[in-house]
Amino acid sequence: MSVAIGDISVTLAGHELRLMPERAVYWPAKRWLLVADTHWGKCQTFRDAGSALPVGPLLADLDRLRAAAMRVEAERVVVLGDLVHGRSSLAGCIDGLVQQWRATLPCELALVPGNHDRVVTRHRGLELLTRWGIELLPPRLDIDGLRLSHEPPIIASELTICGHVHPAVRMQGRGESMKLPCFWHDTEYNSFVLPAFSSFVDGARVRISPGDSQWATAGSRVVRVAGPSEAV
Amino acid sequence: MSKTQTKPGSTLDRLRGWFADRGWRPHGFQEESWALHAAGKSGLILVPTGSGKTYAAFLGPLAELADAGANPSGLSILYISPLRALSRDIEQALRAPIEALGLPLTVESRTGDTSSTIRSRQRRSLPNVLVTTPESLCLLLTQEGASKRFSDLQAVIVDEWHELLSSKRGTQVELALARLRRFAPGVRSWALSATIANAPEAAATLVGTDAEPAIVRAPIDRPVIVESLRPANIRRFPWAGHMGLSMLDEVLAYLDPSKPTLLFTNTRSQAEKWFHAIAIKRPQWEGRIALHHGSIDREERERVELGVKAGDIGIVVCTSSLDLGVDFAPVERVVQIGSPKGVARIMQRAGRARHRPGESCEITCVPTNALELLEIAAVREAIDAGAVEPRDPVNQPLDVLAQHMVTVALGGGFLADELFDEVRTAWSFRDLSRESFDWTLLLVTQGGTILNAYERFHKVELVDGVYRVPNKRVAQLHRLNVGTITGPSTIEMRFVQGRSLGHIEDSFVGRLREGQHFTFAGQVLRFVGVQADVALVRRGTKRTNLTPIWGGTRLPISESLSRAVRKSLEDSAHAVETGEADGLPIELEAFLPVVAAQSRRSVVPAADEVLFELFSSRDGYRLLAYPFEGRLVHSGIAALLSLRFGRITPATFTTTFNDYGFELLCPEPFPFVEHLTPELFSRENLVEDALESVNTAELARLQFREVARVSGLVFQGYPGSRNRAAGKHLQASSGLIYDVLCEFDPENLLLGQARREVLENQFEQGRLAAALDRIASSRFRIVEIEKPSPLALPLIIERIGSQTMSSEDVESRLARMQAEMQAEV
Repeated sequence: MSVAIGDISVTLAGHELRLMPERAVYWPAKRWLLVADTHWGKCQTFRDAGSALPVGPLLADLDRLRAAAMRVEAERVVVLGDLVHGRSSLAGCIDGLVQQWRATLPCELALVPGNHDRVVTRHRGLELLTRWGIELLPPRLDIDGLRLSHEPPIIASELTICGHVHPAVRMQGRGESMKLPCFWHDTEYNSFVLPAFSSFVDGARVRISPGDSQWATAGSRVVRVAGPSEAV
Repeated sequence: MSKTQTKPGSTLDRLRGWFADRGWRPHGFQEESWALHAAGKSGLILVPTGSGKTYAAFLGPLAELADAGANPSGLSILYISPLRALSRDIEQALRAPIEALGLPLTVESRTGDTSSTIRSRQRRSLPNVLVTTPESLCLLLTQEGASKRFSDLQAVIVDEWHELLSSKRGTQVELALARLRRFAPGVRSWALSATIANAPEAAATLVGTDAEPAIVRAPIDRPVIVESLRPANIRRFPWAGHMGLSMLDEVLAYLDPSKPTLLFTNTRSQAEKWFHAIAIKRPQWEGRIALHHGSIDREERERVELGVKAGDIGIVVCTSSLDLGVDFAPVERVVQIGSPKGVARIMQRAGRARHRPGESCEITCVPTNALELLEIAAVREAIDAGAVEPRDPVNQPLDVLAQHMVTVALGGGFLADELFDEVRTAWSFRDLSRESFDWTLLLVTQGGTILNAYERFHKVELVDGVYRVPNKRVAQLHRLNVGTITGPSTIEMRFVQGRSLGHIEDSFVGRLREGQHFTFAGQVLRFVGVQADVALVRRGTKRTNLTPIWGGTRLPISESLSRAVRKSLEDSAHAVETGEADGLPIELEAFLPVVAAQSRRSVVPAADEVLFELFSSRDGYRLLAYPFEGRLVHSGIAALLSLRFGRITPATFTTTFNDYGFELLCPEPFPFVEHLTPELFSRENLVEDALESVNTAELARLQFREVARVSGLVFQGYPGSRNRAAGKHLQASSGLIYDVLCEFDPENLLLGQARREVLENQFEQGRLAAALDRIASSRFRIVEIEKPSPLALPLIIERIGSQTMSSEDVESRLARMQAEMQAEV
């Protein structure tokens, strides 16, 4: 399959990765689609606390995830942690919605658990994962020379693909500026950090070091916004 | 003024006796207020600070309470002050006559600072007289037994009503008062206010639609005298810029720590810079000068306030943080650095000096650029003419209504029809449609109007036919977030060793690098890093000019002042023309060389004229205009003209604006003269064009911050405990929520409200329309200029400054341009 318009292919530590504007990374060698920080049910958590937010963002996020998986014909979607937002996010319609959605997702689904996922990796939460057809992976998965985890590494080792940080960049235009979720290759710790997949999460600006690269997701395109020219 | 007819031995008579014991005599306006209260009236008392306003409002209700004889068991008099820091002073003032007369009445405060012991005692029973803030009052209204606890209320007094009136805090007080009138049908309300232009409206806003308010005016016995410091050499005085440090020597010569002085600046960064500059030039004043602004740690601010009161601190560099508040008895002098901005503002600041009945109060204004000389002369003229500004109440803010609904649902619950009628008795909601009311009710009951889109949302619920809040956690979060004050997003700044310095904008911290030096809270600091939402610093070792720039729009000069400025300009033009400078204010005399330069390079517009200058240079083709209507209105007119010019002949413009005028810059030649017609300034389709002409979406997204916070979509908790209050799982920026609603519930009325607020806050829509009318009916003077005129220079400089040039470049360029102009003389 050729790289679709809007995607950017990069090679990091010998691995080809395709950065997708859906805020996902496709790993062609394994045919895995990697996403991080989906935070399902965050709007429900807000509604429970009395903040009137609609269900829309969850539905739109689920649609986008399925569309991304289908576009690259992924064999497996791996969520790199923070699949759900919290205990209160699991109440209400989310269970039914996810079950319905899962039935239409034509591939495997797996979770490398993150700090928000304790509620689905223990006790009765595990039943939810079973119902949703999600395989629970270890918090640190070493596979084919790559490491997958939720949190970025504390010491640099082999290339780690992770989430947790919700990286974003601020783009300045004439008289306006906007914050865009971004992919971030952090050379100091040898990690490749994914943007939060959830559309209801604020991006965090990150301090980049010389040699780092960033790619912003802007509408239907991925745009390289920072980094040495020889990096790609 | 006739005395209230009272029996000898009545409480009022005894109070008059107490006055006499202290060598006072009731003022006419005090007697008048007491009589009106006794006659069952509510109303507004217009009186300058420090003239006995508190007793004008308080003693009437107090006398009535005492005369009734019975020992009241509950709350009878409520005193609302916008500043919790003042509650202790007010409490003392209210207690004095009670103790003097030996009345068996209790006085207590209830603010955010009240200890939990007192709060829990107050939960069982309230004092007879309670001093509180709008926010704490709303919290009391969330208590289940609210209706019973307020049922004996006889009078509500609202202090500094002019401050509250034009904000959502004022709307919140209106709704609370409507509630209290239901709980205690006979309750009367009295507001205290500085002079404002729209007193009848201010009074109506207080008493609601069901009463005829009285208005009591105190004769002004303290004339405000405006003095000024002027540059030694006007030729070398900058024509643009706002920091004003070129006047440092003149100010230093004037300052004297043995004469306690408040030195007001217009922004926090200006206060930091001035404090720093004075501290360097006068090291011997260390400990006798202090800095006070809203970002500085509260304990430090209180230390400074106490220091001023005790006379230990001689000079305080401050911002609007000291506009209101503690009575600074020792203060002898007030200095204003930079544009006065408004007439009422200068009167308020002047009034901060020592209060002695009958004495004048003085304020010394210091211009930061030549054009501000005009403003100083103008503000004096406006004060003499009594041309203070109006304060307009906010119209139907649905976010405040939403918050109020939850408050009322908590405090005993409500029926929809009853609450609708009650809310409509509040002035700001008198025209509220049932549709908007019902929509807001849906917002708090179902989350929104779209069926099923707000799954499992139950904030307010119908329980046995009454709207209530059954969920404990929702109730707790609401109580933590009551209020309408929306601060910018800030984080705490601390020394590594632990002491807190205050709060500083996230965005400034985000730009700091480790080890970088900057000044804050009057000290040179070195940035260490951010840890657990706290910015850590150490004492700095280097000198630096870096000061935080705080967010927020610069205040425009007011309409009243703008009018006076146009008049001052005309007066000075007349003087230049005739060579007659006699009788001209001293600031205008100093300004004459600038006027002369203006008429040499261009023309000085008469009052019924609007000047347009055409100027082309390397950077492009400019149209400059000087309506003197304040920066917001100018930004609106500039955006509107760009749009309307562009419709006739497509072109791209860059706009720049300040308080005096604006410029349109086009990279290509543009037929400005041909298109400059009165129709261009038509107010037809004003709203549509204004919305189209700016990036409304982005501005509305910013404005939504306040709407989201007030309506309960985001959780702020109390400042300082924000994160604990909200909980880790409830973090989302208002911008994100704005985007979500735009996409998934575009009909949400809160979005529309944010857009309306943008038009009002960004352009002062009403004032913009009036300005357009004035321009359209003025004579156009169109002049092609070869070199920038003095009026043009600040705009051209401002534009250069906004580009990527360093400030040194701008300053040196300005000095060069100005020198050129002077060489012509």
